[in-house]
Amino acid sequence: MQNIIEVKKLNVSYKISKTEYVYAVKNIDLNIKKGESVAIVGESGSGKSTFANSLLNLLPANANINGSIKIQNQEIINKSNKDLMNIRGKVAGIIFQEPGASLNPVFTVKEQIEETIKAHNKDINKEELKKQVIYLLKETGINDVERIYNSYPHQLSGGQQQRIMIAIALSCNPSILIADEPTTALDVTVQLQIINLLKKLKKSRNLTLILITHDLHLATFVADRVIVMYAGEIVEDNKIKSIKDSHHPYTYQLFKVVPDINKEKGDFVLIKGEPPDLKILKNQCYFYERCFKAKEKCKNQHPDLIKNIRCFYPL
Amino acid sequence: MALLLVKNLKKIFKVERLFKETKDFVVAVDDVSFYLEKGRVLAVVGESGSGKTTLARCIAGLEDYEGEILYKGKKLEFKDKNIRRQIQYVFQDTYNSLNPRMKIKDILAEPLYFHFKMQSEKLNEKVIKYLEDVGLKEDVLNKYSYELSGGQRQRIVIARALTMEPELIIADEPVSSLDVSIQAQILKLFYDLNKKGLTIIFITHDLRTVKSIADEIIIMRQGKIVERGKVCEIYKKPENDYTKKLLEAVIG
Repeated sequence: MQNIIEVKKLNVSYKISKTEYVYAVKNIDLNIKKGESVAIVGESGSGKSTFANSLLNLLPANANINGSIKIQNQEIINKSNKDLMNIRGKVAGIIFQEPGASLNPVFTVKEQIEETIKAHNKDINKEELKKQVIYLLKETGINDVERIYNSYPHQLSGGQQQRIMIAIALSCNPSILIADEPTTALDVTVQLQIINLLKKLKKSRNLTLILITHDLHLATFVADRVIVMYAGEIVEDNKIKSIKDSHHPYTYQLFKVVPDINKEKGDFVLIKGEPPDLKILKNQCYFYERCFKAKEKCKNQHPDLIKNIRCFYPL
Repeated sequence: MALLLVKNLKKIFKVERLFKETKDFVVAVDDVSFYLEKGRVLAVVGESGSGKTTLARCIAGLEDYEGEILYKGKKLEFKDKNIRRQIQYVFQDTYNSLNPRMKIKDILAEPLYFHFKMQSEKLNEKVIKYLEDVGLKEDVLNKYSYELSGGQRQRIVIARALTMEPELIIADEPVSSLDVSIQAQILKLFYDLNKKGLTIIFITHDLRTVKSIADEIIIMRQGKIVERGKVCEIYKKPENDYTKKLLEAVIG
């Protein structure tokens, strides 16, 4: 299978003052094949959202990006917004964490979905437009299409809002869907519905799905391939289905700390400490201070990504 | 005797609409009764809109209500400073529950001064003691809340609650905005506090987080209790359909 996304030596830094930079994403090399479902897992500050946004060049003005990102053999970096129009929405759609904040409160659902379709297809007639919007709403599992069609975002529940976001992201038939923490702000039962919807759509539309999440269980539930990020780097990139498949100590420990309904009272496994400050990273394994397997070598040398694992002593 | 007894608690919010003559009513907590023994951890679980936070706010004296809440057999009287001290509340949003203009040492010292009239050296000693109790070091004392990480802020909020030597802590979604590795640390902190005798009401929407700390559990839906019982029994054999649905929705 051919690669639909090719990322080479991607570095993203944010300028936070005249002299200070935060290196959010460091040296990422990554290929994603057509039709794959990939999850990118990491805690806050690990660079997962920065990476997701850089895929569509959606970074804020204070970001410096260098390296190369190719989506369907088209270079993304340094492209003008006008040229990016052919990729954003058409080739890759994206949905964000808070659906309420992503939708425009003064336009109806109908207008917002139509706007996206019209932006990419100017000649479309009214009836065709309405047909497409209703089809999208039905496809994303909205029950009373007639009511929601003319509703404003604040009249909808969080789950419905997220479905609308998915409908907008899919409105121009992209082949890639990027979902950045699509379920974090939702209730548990709704979370499961949205995740099942994403899985269903991936299958029916043969999408390449990129799920960004901090929940390792969710990642293994949805994706075939899990990429674990820590302090802006990829530390593990593997087909992970359970704790047995984890080779990096961080992935292993992450599996252990995630709250679990099978745990007994008082059953706690902890990763000590907190993620490192990205402004002052030393030349050592960034996970050194929190790792249960750390040895002298980890303190003095920074490991490279070898066989998809960034660790001197993989499990 | 139960530490906390809640009888037929009801809370109705009036909703005024700008262009409507009539008022709408929302019954947020509908006829809720339960009791809590000293030294236990009670988890209140429900989805958004289930009334779990309103229930907690009623117990903490932040809302008026219908029905009865008895604390140590007496009606809760929040004019009494001493009672107010014994029930402490840890809010969901740590960022907004710490004053951004105050240094951490002042945030922790203020309640000690207000309630116990502590001053100078003794005050400093106590502040450091509580800081250590929640696993922080002295170097945060001169910082402001926005300079700390989410996990550190949550620890400060817990330390501030502990300065009052409370008997009951109500924690409203204390870990939902934290990273998984930090969540486990904060849960362990609550577990250790409970070991020392603190009674905790733990409010959450995530059934996974409470399994390792709670003794009893209440499942709420639309203001009503749909199921209650011991944690080990409910997770093994849920009776109510809604509880089953919640358990099935847990991924992993």
